[in-house]
Amino acid sequence: MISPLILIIEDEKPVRNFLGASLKSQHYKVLYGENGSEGISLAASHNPDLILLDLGLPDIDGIDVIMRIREFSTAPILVLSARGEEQEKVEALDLGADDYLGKPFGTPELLARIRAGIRRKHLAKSNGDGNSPVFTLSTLTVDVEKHLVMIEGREIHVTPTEFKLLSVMVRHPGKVLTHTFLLKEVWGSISASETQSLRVYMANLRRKLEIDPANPRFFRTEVGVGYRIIDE
Amino acid sequence: MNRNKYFKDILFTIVILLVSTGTSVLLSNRDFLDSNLILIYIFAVVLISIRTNRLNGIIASIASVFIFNFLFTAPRYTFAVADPRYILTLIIMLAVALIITTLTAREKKLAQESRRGETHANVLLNISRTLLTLSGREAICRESLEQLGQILSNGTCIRLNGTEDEEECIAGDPEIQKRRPILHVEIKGSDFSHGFLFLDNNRKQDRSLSDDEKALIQTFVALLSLALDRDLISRKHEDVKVRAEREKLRVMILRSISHDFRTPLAGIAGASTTLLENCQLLDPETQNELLKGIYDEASWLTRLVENILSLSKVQSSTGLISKTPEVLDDILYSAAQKIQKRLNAHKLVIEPPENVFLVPVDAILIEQVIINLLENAINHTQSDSTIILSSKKTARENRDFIEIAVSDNGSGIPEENLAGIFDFFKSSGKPTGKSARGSGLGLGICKAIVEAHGGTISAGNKAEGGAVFQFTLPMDQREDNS
Repeated sequence: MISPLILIIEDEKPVRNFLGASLKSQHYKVLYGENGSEGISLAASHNPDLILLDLGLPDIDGIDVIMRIREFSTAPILVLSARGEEQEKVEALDLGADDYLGKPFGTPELLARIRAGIRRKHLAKSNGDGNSPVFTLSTLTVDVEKHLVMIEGREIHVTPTEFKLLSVMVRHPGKVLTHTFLLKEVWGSISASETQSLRVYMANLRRKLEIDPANPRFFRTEVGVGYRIIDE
Repeated sequence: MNRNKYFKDILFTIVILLVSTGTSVLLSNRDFLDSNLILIYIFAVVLISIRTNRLNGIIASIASVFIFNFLFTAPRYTFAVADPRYILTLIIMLAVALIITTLTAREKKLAQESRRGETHANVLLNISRTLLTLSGREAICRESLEQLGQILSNGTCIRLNGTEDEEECIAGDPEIQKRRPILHVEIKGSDFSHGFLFLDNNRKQDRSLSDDEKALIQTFVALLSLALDRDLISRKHEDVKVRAEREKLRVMILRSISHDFRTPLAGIAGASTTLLENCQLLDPETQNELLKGIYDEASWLTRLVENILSLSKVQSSTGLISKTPEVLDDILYSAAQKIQKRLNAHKLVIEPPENVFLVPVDAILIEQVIINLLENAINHTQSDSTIILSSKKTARENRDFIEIAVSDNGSGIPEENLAGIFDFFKSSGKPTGKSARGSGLGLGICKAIVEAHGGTISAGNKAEGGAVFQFTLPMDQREDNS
């Protein structure tokens, strides 16, 4: 398999160097964009397998960069952002970014997210529109046609709404799903009362499915952002 | 005027006239003098004037003269008068009756007015008393309008102008300003206008205000503007005090943060220069150790910065944090996840609440509180200790609270450290090594965050040994920005 090409759009040289060094050590091919406009043109000309994007760029707002790249590319975008910028993070995810990594982060975490992003890209390709009726997430199986949820072959009873929520989530392994995204997919609207319901349904699902919630196997809460489906 | 009273008055007048006529007929049959009969009628007029109104008195006066004339003067049963002397009698009778009616009516009016004056004075006294104890523009306006409503049946509304630090404030029915109020009075403060008082049409009688009502309103407005002036001055005073305290805290925090920054930075700079300059001379093991030192110090700095960020959020000028209903489990598990790497041999047990609870919080800040408390527990206990993160629902003063506790089975908190344990930089005054570093800032931030949510935080030792830190968060959406 040819080594994947990763585009790093980041204006800070030390961070760029460190990202490049750790990626190259894992045999990825690396491209650097020093600002937003350079990043967009590199994304267009080289068609990278994954894009690492810093939200705070000197020339163009990171959110705009995502929108412009999404006009021509479906490559996974992994956003790098500092804590305290939750609102920006959520906006980036809602506008087409696939994942985010809070600064500062360690190399193992970065590499795990990149692997997940590239895997998801291949998955999307092989699955076509992703409409296969049975989804598996480690020991969890969700059969959309038969309306079945099983853990290690044991059936778990869930309510219809919980099932709907679960079937939306298993379709996006490894991805961060924002509250807004889930509300639109499951309820079709975004009102305050439904935002609350979503949180309660998620908590109930967790209580039903996770054996040790302190070390979750299926979903992790990203406080202030949404939920991540664990796929490793 | 009410219809019922009107008919009652007429009925009373007729009955009294009938009774006096009956009595007169009885007496005249026994040859009583006419003057006695006249006195009976005058008495009837007095009674009617006292009980009813002036109009009825006048009608009764005229009616009695005619009845007397008809029944008792010769020729009887006609309105004609045979003896010319009787004409004089009848005229005097009418005059006396009318004068009595007028006098009684005036007396009644005076009594009524003085009674109303007394209630006005009482209400004004009450208003001035209430206003003295109140603070806050809205409360002052609301309370005083309520009191005014006891004597004035007009709809009222107060609109206070917005100031540099307060928004426009409306008390009473805001529709009144739009409906063309019959009166609007400016509430003049000592050096500027506070706003206006609007008076609507009277709901019951559509009449204009009487003079003493106008005077009452003027006095009311004067009282109100005095109270608003006083409130403004006391608030300004309070503001200056708060600002001075905040400034003091800011200086203290800055000084301590610079201190907290300097130590790890010195470590990082030292280790990295050693590596840069003497790389070939160092054996791999030492190199590794230096690198690990840099990593540790950098992570410590990261946590410090996160805490400072939280602090800046809580202490921002608006003082408002954005709360959204969050499921408590999520926050507990997310905090536990983030602390996982630092646990090493410590054991962490999580006891979530019995039900799924939604709590209105800034989730990231509350997560920070839990992380700080867990970190504090890790720093102050042996490496094989057990830390319990538990939560339950409690109630106090009719409000529901969530109580979250972090307890350990370590050696507990020394008695002398308990007081002021949540003060900023309690421990950084005398840094005693790695474990003491940073805990001062962390607990101080916990307190600031919890209190910004309207909750309380406390620390203590368990009877069976070990420290316990617990904090509460109100479960309702009520704002606590007192």
